[in-house]
Amino acid sequence: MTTYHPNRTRLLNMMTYISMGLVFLSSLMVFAYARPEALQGNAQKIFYIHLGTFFGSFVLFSVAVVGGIQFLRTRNNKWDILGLATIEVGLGFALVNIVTGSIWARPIWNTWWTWDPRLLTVTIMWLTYAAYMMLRSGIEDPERRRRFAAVYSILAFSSVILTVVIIRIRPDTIHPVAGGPSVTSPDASGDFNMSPRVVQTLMFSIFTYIVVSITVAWHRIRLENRAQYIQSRKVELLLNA
Amino acid sequence: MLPIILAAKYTEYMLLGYGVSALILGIVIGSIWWRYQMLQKDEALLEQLEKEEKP
Amino acid sequence: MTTPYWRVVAALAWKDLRAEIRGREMVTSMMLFAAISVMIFSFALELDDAAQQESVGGILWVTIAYAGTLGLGRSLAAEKDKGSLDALLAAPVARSALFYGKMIGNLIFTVAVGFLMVFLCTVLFNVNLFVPTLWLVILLGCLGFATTGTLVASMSVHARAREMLLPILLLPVLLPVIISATRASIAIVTELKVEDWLPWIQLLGFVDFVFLLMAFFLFDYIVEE
Repeated sequence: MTTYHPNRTRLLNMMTYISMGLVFLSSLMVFAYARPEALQGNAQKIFYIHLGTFFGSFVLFSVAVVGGIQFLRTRNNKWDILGLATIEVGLGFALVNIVTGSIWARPIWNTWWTWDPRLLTVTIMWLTYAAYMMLRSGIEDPERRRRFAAVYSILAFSSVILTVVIIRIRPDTIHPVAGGPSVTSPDASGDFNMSPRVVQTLMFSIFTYIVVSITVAWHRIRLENRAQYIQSRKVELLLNA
Repeated sequence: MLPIILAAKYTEYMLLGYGVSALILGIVIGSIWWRYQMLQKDEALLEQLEKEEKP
Repeated sequence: MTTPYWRVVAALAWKDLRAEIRGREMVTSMMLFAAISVMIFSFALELDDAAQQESVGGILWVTIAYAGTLGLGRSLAAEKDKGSLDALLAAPVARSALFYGKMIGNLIFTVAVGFLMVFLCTVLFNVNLFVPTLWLVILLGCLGFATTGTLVASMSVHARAREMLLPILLLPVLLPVIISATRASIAIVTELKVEDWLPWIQLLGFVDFVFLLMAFFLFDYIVEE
């Protein structure tokens, strides 16, 4: 049985409660503090969770890359579990990012989907990490599976980098650049007015979903530890029988 | 504040967006919880089998 | 005395070429596949002259990517099933030399398909693809393809459904190569200004360099055992 230091469990519990509180507070800010935008009305409010979940998945995929490199260096199983957990949860967050973007685009761009470079790269990013899960389930030998998964998680990160820099190399994107150093693109459509309240809510939402994503991934790590422990006990029982 | 928000347009898209987000994140968190429950069951079964084995 | 690095690379690439000449028929299958898919494109799209000029770049790269994936799967699977890679791994040579040898073999086959496509598209779509800058794009694009492809295919051969898994794993990672190669090709074919295609070639070169570097470090971890 993997035993955890009680302080770690305490920190995890604390983060779980903090996450719940943050989600509650950020929802309050989104629905009751930030004013609806003049042109986009309440549709603009989707942006808070859209950007928040993007940063959440970005942080998780970055951690997965560190996990991949560390696994190849140390061959410690815990790094593999870190990679698996962060990518699985990151896929969920990235899906929220894509779906909310699509729902926002319906009233603003007048279409659910358009083949804009940014939309293309983020979808490919999602598919790359989905392929990572396929690779894991396709290889039977556990040692080889961990090794290949680590290699692929490093390769897959190129799709994350591409998603982040695509606005810089493709000025013809119509995706608005909100947050971070922005390259104002003449074709961008759907840019909105950033009043102080909007900025505060946006920053708070991003912070919230980064904390939430880390907390959920941590729970996923604990689940995996437990699953592997129980699996080993099953094997032991079968061998003794 | 509430009247301002309700008066603005596209409220249905906002609700749809947050509803779908809650659903997806709920599935992510729910699946972790559910798998954990299944593991608890497995462990209980294991313990029972181990007890039967010993005497 | 150890064999010099470049000789290992050359010997491996030569081994693949010789196997091909003796009738492994990998390039023949790839080329037939490419020809058939160009036919299907021309029937399915039924383009007018202007549209042909604009879409030929896309058709070129889609076909190279699919035909190339077909060849890669075969090339690495043959290596694994014969166990020849295991024998090579026991030899006292650098692992990365094995990678580059295998990669150069795949590169030559992909480039062959690329130039067949140049000929086919020129004839069938009535668009002149005999442009040296386009050939440079084809070389660079195929280099990126062969590098990433060899790396990913040497992982996917160990999987249960390897033929299914290879395109799923490879194509998303290849996206930077495909995007920049397609954009550069379209800009060159439609005779746009230098400023319109040069950045794409530069990006393609940069992406190739990054993938070559990553492959150099990562291949060791794939083949160890």
